[in-house]
Amino acid sequence: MKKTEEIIDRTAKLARLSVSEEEKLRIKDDFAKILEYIDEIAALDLAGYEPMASACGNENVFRVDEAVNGLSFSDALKNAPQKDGGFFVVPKTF
Amino acid sequence: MDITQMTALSLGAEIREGKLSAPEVTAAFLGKIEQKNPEYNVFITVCRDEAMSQAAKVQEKISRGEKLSPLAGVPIAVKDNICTLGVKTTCASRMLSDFVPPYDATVVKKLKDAGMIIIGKTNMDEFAMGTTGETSFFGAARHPLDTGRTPGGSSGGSAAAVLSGMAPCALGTDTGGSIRQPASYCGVVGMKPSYGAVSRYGVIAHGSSLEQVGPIAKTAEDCAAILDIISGIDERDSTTDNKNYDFGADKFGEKLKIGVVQGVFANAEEQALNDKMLECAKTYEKLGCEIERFSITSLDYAAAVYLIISAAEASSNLGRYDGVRFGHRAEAFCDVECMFEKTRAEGFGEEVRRRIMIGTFVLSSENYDKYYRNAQRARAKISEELDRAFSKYDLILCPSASKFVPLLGQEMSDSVSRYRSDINTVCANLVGLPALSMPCGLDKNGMPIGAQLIGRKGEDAKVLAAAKAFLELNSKEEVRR
Repeated sequence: MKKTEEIIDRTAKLARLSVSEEEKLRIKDDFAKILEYIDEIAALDLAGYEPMASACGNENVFRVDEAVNGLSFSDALKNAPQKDGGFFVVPKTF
Repeated sequence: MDITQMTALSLGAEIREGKLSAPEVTAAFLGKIEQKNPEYNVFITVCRDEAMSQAAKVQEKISRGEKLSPLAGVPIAVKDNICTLGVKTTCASRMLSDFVPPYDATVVKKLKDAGMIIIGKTNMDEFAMGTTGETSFFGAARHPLDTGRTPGGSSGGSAAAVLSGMAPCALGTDTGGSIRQPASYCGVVGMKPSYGAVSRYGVIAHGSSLEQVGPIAKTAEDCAAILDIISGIDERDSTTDNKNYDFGADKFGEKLKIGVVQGVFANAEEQALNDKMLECAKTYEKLGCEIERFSITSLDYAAAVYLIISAAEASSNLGRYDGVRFGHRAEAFCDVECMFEKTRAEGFGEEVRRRIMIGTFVLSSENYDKYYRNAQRARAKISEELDRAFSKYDLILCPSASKFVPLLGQEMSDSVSRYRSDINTVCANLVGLPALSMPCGLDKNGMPIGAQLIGRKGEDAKVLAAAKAFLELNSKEEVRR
């Protein structure tokens, strides 16, 4: 089992969350206890059980293939942190 | 009669009969909010102008003789993770502190179509992650009977609103107990319906396979009336079913067999709660039911299964908060990756970040089978055990909470014991069963205790009828305050 700090670093990267060194020190004991807690699953006898994703009985619910209007441009942009005309403005991505 | 002490259905009847008007009733509750909210911090947003305007419109329809729902003209508080068009919906988070939805959630639209008045948005744990309200960006709501205690979570604001008379009823959401536990702590009735009964469109997602919107009110009848309004198949939520629930329809069947669950913790508080359930069972015996004690072995691991699945789903659902299209965006960043990381670190509180980390961990490729896939298989095992229980029993009875109402600050330090405390409520979410909390007495600190009734999937009306029968027999002061 990797050291908790390494796990925090890798997981934070995957989750796109920046974690300061100070926070990492503060949370690592608690995080280690949580990982120990969820390890209880490993001790269960689950032979013969298929994964259950949901209590919902529905499968492949489709609507009629007809174009319908969604949110208007102005509604979709209403809460944008930064916008320009009909566009969301973001830092360059490449 | 003090308007703010009346049930939702009584208010609806008096408004319909012309003894009260919708604006008069709305103004009474707004007055109570103005008086009490500064102390209890129950509402994040109060919809004063919108509510009075809506009340006037509904009153016009009533005065014209239009046939409206039994709750037309009655105010309702809405948990702040449910989208309300034009009204801030924050999820009690910095991430959405200025977010104004451009649409109504389906449940909100249904309330409005039924003539109900949205009076305000209630305080909650951030993104519905928590059991005390203390993770709220706007500070915790306080228990109206003892402001040093929590009203519970994550729908603590909604439960406290009903207890304190700031609203006759409220909507909450329940992913792992978040309606039932605060209803228990506040001595009111709260119900999580069967999964699929109520649309989640417009409900800001935490655990999509687990959660349902449900009512919190003073009586089981009020809860049934609200569920009749908000339920129904919705083409915008493909997990909804088209069953005709008719929540208030069942008459209580005396020959029911009720299973009383043996608790898992060996501590004094849980022993006291178990003893209380045996007292409640005596009420059902008086009503002609057969009672039997039994154990649910899945309780040993259900809370861990719930943590893995809910955290996994939350980490996926909260991936959308990236500072691009809505919500908080960090001010200083070097590139787009940095913008995501800083935005999310700044926008989310500690518990939300913790759950995202747990969820991301269990979904990462090297851990997926060991944790997430196995948790889903354990979910199937829990479902099978409950199926077996319901082949013997018509209803299951157990405490809603696993402890007495805590003091604020008591619960926050130890994550694992907080997660374990969800023990009594999570099975109903994992398996999609209807489950309700009803007040059944007071603990040694004089604070409310809730008894939980769990039913077979789809038998929501039976659960509500059983609650109604219990509360009619136990309407003395010592059960509800």
